[in-house]
Amino acid sequence: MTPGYRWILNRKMLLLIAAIILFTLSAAFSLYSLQKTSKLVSRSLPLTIWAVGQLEREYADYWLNLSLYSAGTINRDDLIVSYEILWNRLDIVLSSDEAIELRELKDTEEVIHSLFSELKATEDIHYNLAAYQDPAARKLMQRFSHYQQQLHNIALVNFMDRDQLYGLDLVSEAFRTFGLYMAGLFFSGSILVFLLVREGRRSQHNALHDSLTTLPNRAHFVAHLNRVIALARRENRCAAVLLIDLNDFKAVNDTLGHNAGDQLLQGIADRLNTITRDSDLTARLGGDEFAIVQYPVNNREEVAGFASRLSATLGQEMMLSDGRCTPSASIGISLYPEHSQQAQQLLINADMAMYQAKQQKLGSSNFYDDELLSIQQRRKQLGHDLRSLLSTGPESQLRLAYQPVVDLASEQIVATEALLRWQHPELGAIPPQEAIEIAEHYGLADNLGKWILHSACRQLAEWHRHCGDTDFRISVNISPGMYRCGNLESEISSLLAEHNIPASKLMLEVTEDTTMQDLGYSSRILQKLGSLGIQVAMDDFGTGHSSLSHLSQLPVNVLKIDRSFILAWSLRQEDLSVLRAIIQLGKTLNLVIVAEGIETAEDKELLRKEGCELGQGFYFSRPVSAEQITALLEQQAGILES
Amino acid sequence: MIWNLRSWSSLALLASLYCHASIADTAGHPQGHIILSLTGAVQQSNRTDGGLHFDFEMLEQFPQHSFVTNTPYTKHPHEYRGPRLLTVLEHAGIANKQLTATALNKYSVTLSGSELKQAILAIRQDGKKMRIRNKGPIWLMFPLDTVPGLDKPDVHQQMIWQLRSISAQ
Repeated sequence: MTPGYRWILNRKMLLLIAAIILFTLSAAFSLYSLQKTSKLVSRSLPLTIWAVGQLEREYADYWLNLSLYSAGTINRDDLIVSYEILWNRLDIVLSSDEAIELRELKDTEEVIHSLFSELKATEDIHYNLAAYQDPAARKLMQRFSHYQQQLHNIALVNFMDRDQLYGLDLVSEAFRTFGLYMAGLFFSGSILVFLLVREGRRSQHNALHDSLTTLPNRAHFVAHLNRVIALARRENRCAAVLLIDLNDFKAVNDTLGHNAGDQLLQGIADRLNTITRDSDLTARLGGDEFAIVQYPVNNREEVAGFASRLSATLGQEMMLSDGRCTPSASIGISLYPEHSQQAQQLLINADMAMYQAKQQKLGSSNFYDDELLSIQQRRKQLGHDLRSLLSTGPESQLRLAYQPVVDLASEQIVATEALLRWQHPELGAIPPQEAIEIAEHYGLADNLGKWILHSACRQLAEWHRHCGDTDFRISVNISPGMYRCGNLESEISSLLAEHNIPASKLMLEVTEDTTMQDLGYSSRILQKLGSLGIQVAMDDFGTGHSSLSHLSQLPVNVLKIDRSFILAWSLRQEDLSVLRAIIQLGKTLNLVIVAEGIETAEDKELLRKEGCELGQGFYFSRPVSAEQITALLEQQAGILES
Repeated sequence: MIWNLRSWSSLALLASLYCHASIADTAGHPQGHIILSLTGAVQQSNRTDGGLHFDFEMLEQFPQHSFVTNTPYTKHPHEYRGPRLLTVLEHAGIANKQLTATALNKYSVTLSGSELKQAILAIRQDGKKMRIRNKGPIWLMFPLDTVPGLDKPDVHQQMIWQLRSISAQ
């Protein structure tokens, strides 16, 4: 995870946490506010009504009693009781918590204060009244007469100004607060929903896009291709699928680092985006494989033109932070409806065409054709047949041919290279390279390798017994799949023990490509083989990608110079310098040099003079059967004896 | 402290003995202004109307209890003092009846519930006789602060002030 991404995650988390906190607080406050409001509604309403009713009633009682006293109907004590009761009521209204709402009514507190003051001011008058019908009561009646109306007004305001009276101003205030909290609730809820939707969109986008290049991924590409096919069918037009695979991408990763590899992929994605039309879709299918679907296209030439422009664009030098590189891509093209009408098949066809392009020339493009299909079918059949062959009886179709390796000075056969031969009942002789490639592709290299090693060792043991020459050696080619099989050295050591062969008589030939694919692993396994005493040869030297420093590190005993150098020298004299340099290199590294492809006596003589010790080629012998080698060995022994 | 408790309880005992005797002696003869009337199914009366009537002094002759408490209707805590409601009701033989209390202003309330055991007929607040203007002369008072579970609306509602009469059915 990059720091930037973590930061985004943190920011996102913070937003989410903030929204949740806001939501929770709003919800809590809303609830609290609602409770408060309902409490206000339920409590203040009856209490206020009660307080107003009591006040008005007790004032009315007092007023009535004052009138009755004046009329002589009741005595002073009865009047005093209602006087005192009213006093008590006013005291309560002015001091108790329950009457707060009442006091807050418009002008109410002033009226009540005024009434209470009047009541207090007339205390002496009241208590000094005569038992019955004191004229002073008349004065009292004048002083208190207007309160009746005023208290009545308060009661009236109760109804006219309900909000205030019932504490509903507080209630509506509480409702406003409640609304505010609800807005907070709504707002934070909206944020949460927004985050949810955005997260959903993002994960949908992630599901359909490649995170490194942000291009659509394979799933998206296939879905789009299906839509394009449906559209093309309806509109009766053509579409093209271009599959783009970078060449030697692994080398960039290995030499410049994965960071550079990522940069390269991003750069390629940018270039693809700039060169394609809006109606095209560019995707990264995985690894270093990209694809474009073009719709609509008018004809094959248009697509071919686009492909060559694409090659040119992709092939421009690219600056990376850790260096520069010149990418190249192989492009395979298949067309709808010409090559297939199914998305999956169009991709397979384009893949085959791309594979073909890669083999032809780096940086080229290739259209699918029916020949490719037959190639594909052939591969499938060979894979299938090889599998059943290895599990039943390989000897029915597989055999080993042997090419003598000759000491250039003495011209004695000192060793032989075992070569795979496959005679297929329907397809005839299968080239060894193809057989090995098929075995690698279908995961059969391990089994095939064991069979070859087994056969070769058995044959060598027989030669040792038959000819009495126990110095005679055999070399066997091993392919990457055999190489990677975990127990190669234990397999070989048990084979050697079984056939009683000294380890030094077995040579394994590896290619530069095989060993360089995983140098660390190669080095380890070659060390193990070397410690058994087995000879290791670097085959086809000079054709693959090898570094001299690596070569010096690998436990290799033998260098086999590729036939192409011998052939080239035969045709053009100037290449001698290269050949000489390779031989010198081998000698410097203390390696035995074997020249392959010696076809003439001149070749042999020159190589001998240059210091090459061993050689093989048509000049000495083609690859022949085991029996023929036996004959050659017998003949050689006869010559030596005579 | 021990002495205090003993002396108070013996005083209370003496007082209760005395007041039983004195009410028996003076039944039907409240000397002063009547402030409480028990009516209805009373077992004994001191007037021709069949009710049992009390003046301030008569109520003060019952064993007196006091406590300090806040109420929803007062701003500060006060000490309230007076006889237990139950003692007075038992004296009239109406402790187990259905009771309705009525105030000077005709406010009335039904008295019920086990909380009544805690109630006193408060006739003094902070040692002074309660006046009508201060919810007297009798305020049915509960020790809201000291006895758990009393401070609730049901009890508040029964705290009738300016109590004038209790009728039993």
